Amino acid sequence: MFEWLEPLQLFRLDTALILTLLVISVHVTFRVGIMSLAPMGFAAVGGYTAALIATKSELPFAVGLLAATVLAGAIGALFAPPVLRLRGIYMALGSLALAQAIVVLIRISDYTNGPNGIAGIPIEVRTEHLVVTLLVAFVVLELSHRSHFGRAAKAVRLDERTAEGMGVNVFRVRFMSFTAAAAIAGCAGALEAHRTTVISPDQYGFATLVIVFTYVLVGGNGHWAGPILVTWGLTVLRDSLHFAGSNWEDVIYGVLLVVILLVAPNGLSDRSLYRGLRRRLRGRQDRPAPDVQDPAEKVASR
Amino acid sequence: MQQTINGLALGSTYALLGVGVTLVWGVLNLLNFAHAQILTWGSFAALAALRLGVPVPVAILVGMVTAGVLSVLIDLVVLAPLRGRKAPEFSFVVATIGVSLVLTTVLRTYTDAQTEAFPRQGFPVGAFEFAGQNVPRLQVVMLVIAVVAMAGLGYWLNRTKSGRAVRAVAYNRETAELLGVNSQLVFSICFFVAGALAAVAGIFVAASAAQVSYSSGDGLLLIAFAVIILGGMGSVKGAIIGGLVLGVIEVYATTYVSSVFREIIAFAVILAVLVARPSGFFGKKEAARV
Repeated sequence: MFEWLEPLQLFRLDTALILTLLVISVHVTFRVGIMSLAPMGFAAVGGYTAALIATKSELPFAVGLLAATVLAGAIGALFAPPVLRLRGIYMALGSLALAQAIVVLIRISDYTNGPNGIAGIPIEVRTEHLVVTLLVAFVVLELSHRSHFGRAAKAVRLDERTAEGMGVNVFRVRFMSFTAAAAIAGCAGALEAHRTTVISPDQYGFATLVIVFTYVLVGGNGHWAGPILVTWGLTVLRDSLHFAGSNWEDVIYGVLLVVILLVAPNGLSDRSLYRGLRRRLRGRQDRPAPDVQDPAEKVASR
Repeated sequence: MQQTINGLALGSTYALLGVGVTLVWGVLNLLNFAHAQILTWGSFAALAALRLGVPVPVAILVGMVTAGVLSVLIDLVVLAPLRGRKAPEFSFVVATIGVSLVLTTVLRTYTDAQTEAFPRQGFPVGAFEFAGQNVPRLQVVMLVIAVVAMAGLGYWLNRTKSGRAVRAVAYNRETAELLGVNSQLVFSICFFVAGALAAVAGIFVAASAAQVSYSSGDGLLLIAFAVIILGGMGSVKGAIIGGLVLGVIEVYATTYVSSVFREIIAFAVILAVLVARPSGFFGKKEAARV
């Protein structure tokens, strides 16, 4: 299906697709207003579970993938109650500490082969698998976006107390989102392990997390398509910056990130951003801009 | 006893790190992820000054001013426009992460990703005996600097007019502006102080390790976060005590349990404090703020 691509392009495509899965994981928490920086920790759990099952037993790949997803989800569910007590920046720091603790535990444990990581994981993942996984994820995301749960999630993000007053079980919504995000990240980690054949604790560090978190924040939390389109757009951009040399690539990328934030502090899927743009495109003689913005629309664009 | 001294010595570095971060958080409610890079740039500025042959105190001053000015520039160029647009809390996080990416890359290109030797001549190196214990000189100097910095900040914030302005802006920016406080000036001062203190910490870390590289600040950022969470975010006193406590815990855990736990201590402390008492030792009760 994807044989016509060059190996290097195929490799970059796979990288981008797995990154997309991580972005979805972060978006799922971001959608309910949970600023979780933990996904890389859960990805490490997933990656190592799948790798250990594949290298130390005869069980098929599907079992490993399932076990990785379930175990990451279970650890997420276990730590959700204490972490979910926190809000805002405290939540971000607490979940970051959880993720780092998991990674450090993997690094110092002999069972996971310490800092050397695990090599020789059989290649089981092809681009087709990733595409199918993502398509399934998109369908589930769109269904949940339109469902009662999706509206409840938005209500919780905008105002927890009001949501609670409207009969939304706030803890349940947050708990389910956190656990689902952990499971998705675990799945992404397992797929990544079976793609690159080698994993080590260092790859679950701050660097990937920063990139993923950036995509989600630039993409905004209006609709799941926002962060995903930003992921693909910025990945293509980043790859095409290779001509500038790897040193300047990061500088341009960082500057661009800051500029995007200055233009759109709420992310690129912020609706009020395009309202102004549309008005300008229509021309000034058209209709004067309404001075008082519709408060309902203002809330909806948040 | 010796371990406690070692712990306090390590902790004094952490304390100095935490003070700058906590000051910016207290006034601006902003967690600066570029703090580690400001620290590294300050160390490199001091290194460049030392290579020119200036005495150590002047070199430290050069590093402090460089880091301070850099810090203020970041605020003026990136963060002030964001504030003007009333951006949500987390766009500041991403913006400072973007800035840190740029700063790291520039420094990495400039140094060719090499670790540079940091000259120790002129720094108080070695150890002296006190009550039968070995006390490293460099760390004593750092501890003194940290305590002096805390006392100075305490005096400035509580007893001077500009310190009152800082507290007013921290309490409520709009009200403070109505009362005639130039809030941008207050932000600039805080960023300068935070940057300068970070540079001091960076220079002394570089001197005690006798080397510095473009990434030497990275590991310190999460430690700084652990320190301010332990001490209570926004509390200067808490940052000093939190830093010392974290240093002692780290050394005790390394000595009495296992050296493999050294790396995990900072994260374990963050998690434990956030779960048990999110406001830390001296913080205001705001962790549950929505």
